Amino acid sequence: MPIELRPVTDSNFVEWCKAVRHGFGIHVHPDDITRLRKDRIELERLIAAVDTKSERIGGTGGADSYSLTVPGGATVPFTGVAYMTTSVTHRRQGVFSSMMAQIHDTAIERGDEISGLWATQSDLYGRFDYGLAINSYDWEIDPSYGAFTHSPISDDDESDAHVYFVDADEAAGILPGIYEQMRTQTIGTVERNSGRWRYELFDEERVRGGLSARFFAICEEGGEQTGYVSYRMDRKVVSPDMVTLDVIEQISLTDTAHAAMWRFLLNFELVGKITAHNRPLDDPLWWMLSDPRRLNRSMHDALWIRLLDIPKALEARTYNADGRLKIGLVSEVQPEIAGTYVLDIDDSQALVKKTTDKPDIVMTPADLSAIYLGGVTPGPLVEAGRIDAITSGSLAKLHGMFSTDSAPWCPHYF
Amino acid sequence: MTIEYRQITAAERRRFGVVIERGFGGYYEPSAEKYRLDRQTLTPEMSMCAFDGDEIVGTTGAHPFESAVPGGAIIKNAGVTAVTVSGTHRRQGLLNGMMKRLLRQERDKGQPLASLWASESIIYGRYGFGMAIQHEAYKIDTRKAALRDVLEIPGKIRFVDTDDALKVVPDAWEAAVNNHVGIPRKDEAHWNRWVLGLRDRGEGGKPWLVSYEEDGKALGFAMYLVKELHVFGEKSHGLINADMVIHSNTASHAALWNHLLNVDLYDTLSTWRSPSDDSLPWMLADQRQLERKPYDGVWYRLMDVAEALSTRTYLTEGSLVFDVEDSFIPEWGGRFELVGGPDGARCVPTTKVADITLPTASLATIYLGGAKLADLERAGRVEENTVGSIIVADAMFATVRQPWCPMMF
Repeated sequence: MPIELRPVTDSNFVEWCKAVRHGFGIHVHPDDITRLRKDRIELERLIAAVDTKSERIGGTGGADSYSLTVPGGATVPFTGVAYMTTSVTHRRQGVFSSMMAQIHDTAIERGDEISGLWATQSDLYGRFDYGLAINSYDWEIDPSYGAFTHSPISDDDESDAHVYFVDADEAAGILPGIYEQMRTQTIGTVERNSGRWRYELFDEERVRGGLSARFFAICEEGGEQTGYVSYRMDRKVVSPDMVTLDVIEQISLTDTAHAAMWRFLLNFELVGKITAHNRPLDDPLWWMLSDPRRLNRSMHDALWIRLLDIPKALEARTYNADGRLKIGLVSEVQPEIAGTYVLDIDDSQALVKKTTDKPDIVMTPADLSAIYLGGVTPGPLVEAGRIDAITSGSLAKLHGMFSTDSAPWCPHYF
Repeated sequence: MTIEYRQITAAERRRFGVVIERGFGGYYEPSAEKYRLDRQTLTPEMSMCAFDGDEIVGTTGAHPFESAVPGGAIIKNAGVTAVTVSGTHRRQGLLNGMMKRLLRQERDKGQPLASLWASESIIYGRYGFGMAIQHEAYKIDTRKAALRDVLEIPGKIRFVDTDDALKVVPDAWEAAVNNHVGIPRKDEAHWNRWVLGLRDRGEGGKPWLVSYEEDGKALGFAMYLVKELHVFGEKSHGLINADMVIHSNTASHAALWNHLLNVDLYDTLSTWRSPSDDSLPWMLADQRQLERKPYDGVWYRLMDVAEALSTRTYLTEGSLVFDVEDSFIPEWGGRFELVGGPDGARCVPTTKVADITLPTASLATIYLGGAKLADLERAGRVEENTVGSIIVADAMFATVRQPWCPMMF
């Protein structure tokens, strides 16, 4: 079956939307097509893989344009790969690979330095040189075990951090400002534009999954709004004290806001369980609880990234230690980028050049991508046989240079 | 009620065992052989108990362990165990009284550190223990979890009879002690006691033991139990509980996991004491087949800060002054100057101005490289007096691999 990659226009957009949603097993509501078009997608970045015989869509793909915060606080142009589906009728014909190739070509033409994605399946993207750069936790806790241990911050009497409820309209005016400040100081995060905010906060009954409408609360301290939480209540339960509070998103700009928000969430009466999704690996709550084992955490993969421009991406971040390291890259996927890159790091900034010297340490671009944001340490990858530490001390050097003060986190799904 | 604190006498050893076992919800009815070995592995000199008259109403003990710290030096490490307070004597300060005396007693034996596995994570922070070794629990459907590469394995895996366990397990363990931070060295009596436990297993069944050997030298072993479910049409056919996967190099790690992922007929594999940075996720073709849950493992307590900090090495060169607050045993706190790097370190009491002020539990938490001061700072568990000093501390205390302690004590 001959497949042709075509642009998506207003004339095939409805069919494209249906194809995407069918790929994910969902019927699409007509209003959601309008919402997608108006608030979320960039039409020129979408791909329809059309079967030229039937003139029907056999695969969909596309990207959102973002910038990604990297270690040190710089933001780099970033392609957020999304909407990737292959119709069950068009499996194993290279549709997916050809769409990925086009997305990468376009991204590089645009000057994007990194691309990334949330994977539906975790074995799909390694073959395109993506590395798993961010893991995160899902949480579950019984709030009756939510007492904090004594510590200067959680017992801080000087902080005037206080929490108040706001309704959805008010929240729509407050949340974006707090999120935007957060993303400039959080490695691994991307921005949300005003359209995307409208899209995310849309809350009609069909998107609530049987739970309540969203509740919103804001933290304020010293006259500044420094945190928010958005959550739903799940009342599909038997006993009245077993309501579940499901945290959709909780963002804090300060440690005191974080403490105040979680004190607030752990104080609800008649809530038997709190769940939260996609929490950062280094969220301090575990260290704040007097009985931390009650915070049940399970790990899952979050953001996968691929460095599209190796020298530019490596120069964009800062490093935790100065020095020189020669990283050899081997790639079957991208033979053109294989070779040795020398990183000269001075005052935390890297100068990166290709060299004909022998490398100190060898890896694939996927594994370089995995360690790039500081969320994955290279030691286990050496043990797994993925990174080859050739010169003595090169692993310790790599570890020291690439480590970051905080774990990367991407609260935005795309 | 007057409570007396003292070590048990040899004559009180059996009663000591009864009270400990009762504290964990069981009866102590050991065979003659088990009792003989229990007396060797936990002696009266290692105990500290609370007595109401002649009755033992609270128990603690500490094994004289040795384990590696970052850099590879072996340090003396009091392995606190058998901590119980009788249900008849709650809320009278017994644990406080026993713990203070036990820690002093163990430091007097020249041990700069104490460590323990906690029955509850709420208990030991108040005695100056910090969470130093975190583990992960794994669950894997082995039918879906293929390894991405076939690694070259120079040695071989073989099944070992329980009767032959002592020929391979102690050697493999010793190799692991020397190649990981945090694993306590075990003596002969401990291994005899352990093997007895393998033979005695009741309802859990007898475990399987496989060793990994290179040139006849044991470098790793796995101990696992299998359970058939006898339910047709269920998702899983049988369970594999990998109680221990002990490895000392890349090959032993890969070979043992390859074995466990290919046990015939049993397909739901679980473990609960993997290192928090185990490489298994990175060896799988599909990482998501592995369910991972972090779990608090071993809590550490600094009893001699200067000695402990001098014994390990540091990833980067640096010097820092810590003001260590020890509210439980105040004379063990104070100000210490650390000057260290990859080749060694020196830590001495000082009167210099402190860069960092922190409770002793926070210093114990970062001691093995298992946590960052930056994270503790966000939870309010450390104060930075000199701007940038926490970044310096984290760069120094960082380790390339995470600490690990694959056996409870």
